[in-house]
Amino acid sequence: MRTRKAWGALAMSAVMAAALLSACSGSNGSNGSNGNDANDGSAGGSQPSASESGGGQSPSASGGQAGAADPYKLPDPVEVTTFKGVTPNAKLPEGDTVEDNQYTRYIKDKTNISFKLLWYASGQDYDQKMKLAVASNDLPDMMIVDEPTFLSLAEAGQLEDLTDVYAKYAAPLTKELYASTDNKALDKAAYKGKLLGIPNISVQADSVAMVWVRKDWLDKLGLQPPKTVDDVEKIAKAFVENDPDGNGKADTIGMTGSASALSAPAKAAFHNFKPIFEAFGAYPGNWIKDSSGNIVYGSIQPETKAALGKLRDWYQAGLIDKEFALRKDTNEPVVSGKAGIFMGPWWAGGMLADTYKNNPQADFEPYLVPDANGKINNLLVPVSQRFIVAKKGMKHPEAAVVYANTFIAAQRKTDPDALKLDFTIDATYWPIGNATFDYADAVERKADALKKALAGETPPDSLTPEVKALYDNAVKDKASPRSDLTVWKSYYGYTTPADLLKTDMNKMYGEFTTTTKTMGRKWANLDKMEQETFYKIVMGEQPLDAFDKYVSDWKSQGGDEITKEVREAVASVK
Amino acid sequence: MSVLVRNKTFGSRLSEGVLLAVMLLISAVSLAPVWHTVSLSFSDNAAAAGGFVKFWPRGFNLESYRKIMVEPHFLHSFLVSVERVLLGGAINFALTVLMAYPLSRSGKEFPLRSAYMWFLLFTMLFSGGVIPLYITVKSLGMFNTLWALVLPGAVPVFNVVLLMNFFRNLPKELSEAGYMDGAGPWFMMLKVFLPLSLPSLATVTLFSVVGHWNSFFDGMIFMRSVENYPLQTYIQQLVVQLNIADLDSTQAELLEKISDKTLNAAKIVVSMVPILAIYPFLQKYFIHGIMLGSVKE
Amino acid sequence: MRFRAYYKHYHLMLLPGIALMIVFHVVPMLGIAIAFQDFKIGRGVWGSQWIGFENFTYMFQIHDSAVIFYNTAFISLMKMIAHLIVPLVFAILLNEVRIRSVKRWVQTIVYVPHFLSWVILASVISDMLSLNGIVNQLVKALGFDPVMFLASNRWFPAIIVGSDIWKEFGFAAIIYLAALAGINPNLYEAAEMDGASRIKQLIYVTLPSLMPTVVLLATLSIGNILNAGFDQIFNLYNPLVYSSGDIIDTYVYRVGLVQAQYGFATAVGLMKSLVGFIMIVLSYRIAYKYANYRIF
Repeated sequence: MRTRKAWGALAMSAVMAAALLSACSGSNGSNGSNGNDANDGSAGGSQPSASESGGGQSPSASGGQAGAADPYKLPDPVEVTTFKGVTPNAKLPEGDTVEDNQYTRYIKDKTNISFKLLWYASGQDYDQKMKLAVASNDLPDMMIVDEPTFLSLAEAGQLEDLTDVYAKYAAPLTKELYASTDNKALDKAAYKGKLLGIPNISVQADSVAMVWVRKDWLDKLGLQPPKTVDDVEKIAKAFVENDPDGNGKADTIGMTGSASALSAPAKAAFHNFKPIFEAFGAYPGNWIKDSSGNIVYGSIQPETKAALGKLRDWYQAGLIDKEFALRKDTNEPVVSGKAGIFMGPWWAGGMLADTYKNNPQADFEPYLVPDANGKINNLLVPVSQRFIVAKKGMKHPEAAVVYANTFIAAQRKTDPDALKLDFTIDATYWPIGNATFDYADAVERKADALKKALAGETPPDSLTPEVKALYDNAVKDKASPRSDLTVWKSYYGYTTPADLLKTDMNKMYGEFTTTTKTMGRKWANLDKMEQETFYKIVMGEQPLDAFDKYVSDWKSQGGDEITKEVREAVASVK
Repeated sequence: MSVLVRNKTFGSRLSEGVLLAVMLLISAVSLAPVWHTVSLSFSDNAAAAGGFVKFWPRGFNLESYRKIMVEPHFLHSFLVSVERVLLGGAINFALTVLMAYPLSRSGKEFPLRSAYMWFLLFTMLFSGGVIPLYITVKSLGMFNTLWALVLPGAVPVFNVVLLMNFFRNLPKELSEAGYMDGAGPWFMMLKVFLPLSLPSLATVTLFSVVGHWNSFFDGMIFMRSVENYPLQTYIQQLVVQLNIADLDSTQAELLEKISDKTLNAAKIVVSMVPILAIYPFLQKYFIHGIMLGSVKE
Repeated sequence: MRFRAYYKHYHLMLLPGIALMIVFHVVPMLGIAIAFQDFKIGRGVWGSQWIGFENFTYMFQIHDSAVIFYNTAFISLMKMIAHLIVPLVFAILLNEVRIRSVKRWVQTIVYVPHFLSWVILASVISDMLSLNGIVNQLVKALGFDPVMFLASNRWFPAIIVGSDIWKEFGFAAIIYLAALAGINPNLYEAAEMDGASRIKQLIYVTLPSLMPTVVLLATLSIGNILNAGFDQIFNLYNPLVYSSGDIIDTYVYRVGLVQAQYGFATAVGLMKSLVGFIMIVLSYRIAYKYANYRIF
């Protein structure tokens, strides 16, 4: 009954609005929630004791640092409160709990820090609850937060300054890790010259947007894989017109899309046209450096107009799914076997497994599409999106650094004891949840290790448990390809798609990933205008030149003001 | 029963037939999405994701139900929900009756009723939001207890207003006769009004049971860990609402849950069944009416 | 006056409920203060900057606030009317069904869609309304061109209202069924004695008996004038129908995507409550003045 339900909602009206606000983690591509990344850093070399540990100085648990402080162990036991996000129903060995498992025991053993878990939750639940707790000033001693939360807390002076304890306690391996990002990561974690958080390292594989094409259809129609945007167009046209599924009906879809297809998010998303935009040198939705080095908003650039024009032509010609903006189940055209091209990230295995289950003859291959100059453009994920922070006034802020040191050492296996850990146990069971301190190219590394083992260059037994699991599945699948799609999908991403990740790309950075004062007030309106205009242009409800009006409206309705703020903000960090 | 004693000569068999046909059509229209959901829940996820499930399950399996129910937390969550419904429903019921009765008195009988009434209406519309509620519950030390789920919504204002309205529409003679006999307010409420209001009592009870059973938000914010979640909160977090922008890709576990239509459908079925099971017990009160006749004096 | 002796009992009856309301509802209402602040998480209610009515004025400075308000009020008004009529008519019709088992089954079936989520229903609806969906097949059979309903600003509000009714009418009818069940059978007997036909009984007995409930529900739902149903619209809309389907709540949600703005969200919530409350007071006044009827 509506009235009552609505009342319920009303009773919490402001509430819900607030809750909704916090429910939304999305746009900045950041989110503290269940960090996921199972990366046990297994990656690296296949030998656990290997090379990567920074000029060979592998820190022993007893602490290699001379004199001063032990970066891996506090002198006395310390109890630290925290809360965290966990993966729902992730497996734990019998008898272990979220609060007491191999990771928590390992940390306690190594560092003398025992964590008191105030609460935990999963996914968006965690996100909402974390924001509520933070908004109610109900902070734990230590936690992992996303960038917007980090900045709010920093601005409010709720975070302990870690500058000194970092200088004193940071292990060589930790320092080396950040050095590998040109210290961009540490810059992100700094606020007004103080280091207020220990930043993570984003996995860059997620940024690469690929064009996935039905290889079996290509073969059937005698077409070559795409090497340019025009090739994509030709292939899509053939897919639509030449009845590639051979059912005698014109029921195939050239390429798919979604209600969030007309932007270029840092993390590649399914059915999003990032690869096409990038091939035009367009980065809608991002603050980028233009050719003269100024920071500009990607959506209002002429390149974006050109890309939209292309998409518009494609839509008009029926190459793009007629209903792409309306679909609720965006995977459906692919999974049902109707669609021949979709754009998406390297980890499409799950969707493909469903597709192959329904259409055993189907076979998708990923490709990268270069721009007119033959360059493959790639907009990267911000170098850090999550931060370990300590509450202002916390007694032992050094615990944050010591924890991070130990966590990194364990992930990199530079601590021999870490070899005893079973890294197939979900990483969110680490005491404060999963921060990713893996290599930015973790996926590629794992793929290499797998490749070497499969080629017989390295003995399988030397693999880390996680890569070993991939290896076992790959071997099992080789015996009878795709007979068990669960097996297939678990390792497939680390083969062909991960190989593509190693392609030489023109790396672009989003120069500004947070918000400014005016954005808070005016961005929703500008964004609405952008989305509405872009969709209407592509779907033919408005002419391409509506773009020009959008640009001038965008500028006059706050865009210019915001651009100024963004430039100032970026300049102030430098 | 009123319907049965009424004049059968009016209306032909035709109108009777048309009525039945209309009811059948309405039922079919209502049943379709429900049936579709049930079919989805029993289907293979690949078939569901491909849009092949329309009316019958495709690739029949119980995988989604296994995912939900085999987990150790399921049973416990179910029990938490049952406790919550029993305790919360009882509190709701008692307070609804206790408040509806005095409010149903006329201004003459109870001059302050209007003040109370507007107070309730005011609280129905205005709220301070979730942050102060969080702080209140925490400072009362009710975190992670059943009370946090039951007390903040102890007074279902809509139900109070509804029951007040029903009470008010009972024949005036009732009260007058009661007063003549020297019956006090407690007696009137418990022995006269309650027995005469079974349909509306069943209605408000249903609303509060459904409300308690379905709510997941409070479980999420007030409970410390998944072990203490009520069923809806537990199920809610199983179906991870993923925003791809929030994901790091390397964790296969989570990715598999993306677009898990079947799990989503099974979650609805699982949470719906208990409510449907108790439904007939309440339904009989508001669908067949009561013998008011017995009180005409 | 013997009523006076009862006052204390009435207060006593109300006491527990009122006390709980004060603790869990009135005291937390202090949180409304956030509406007048540039609330920053981390700073809290006491640490955030007071900015007066800025959050409220901002609400009206939004570029297309007029459109958003109009969409909200229009959709919710349509829903309100539909929700008054459809369940009422259905309840009355169902009440006329003589076969008890049919009555029970039909009533149970129509009540179930209430438990479906908008996520599931949105996918069912978009399926039905797609170019190859059953609705368009019907459209084609009738000789028209297929329509992209969910991309059409002409159709979108109607789809919202219609699908909401589809989901909720059965549940909403319960109140009317309870009211019908509570009608004193003596009234029907008396009417029958007077030779009233079934139609006449409907007009002179059934409808008047339902009137207080109808008026009550209408009044309460008019308090909801600025709630057009976030969950539903959020799951069904897309950028093409922003001009007919973007409502206050979806807009506020998107504002929050950019930057969590508790102050603004609270201000919007407060404004919606205020408007709703004023509407309720007005309805009460009008009913009292012109019909001499007290709704509450």
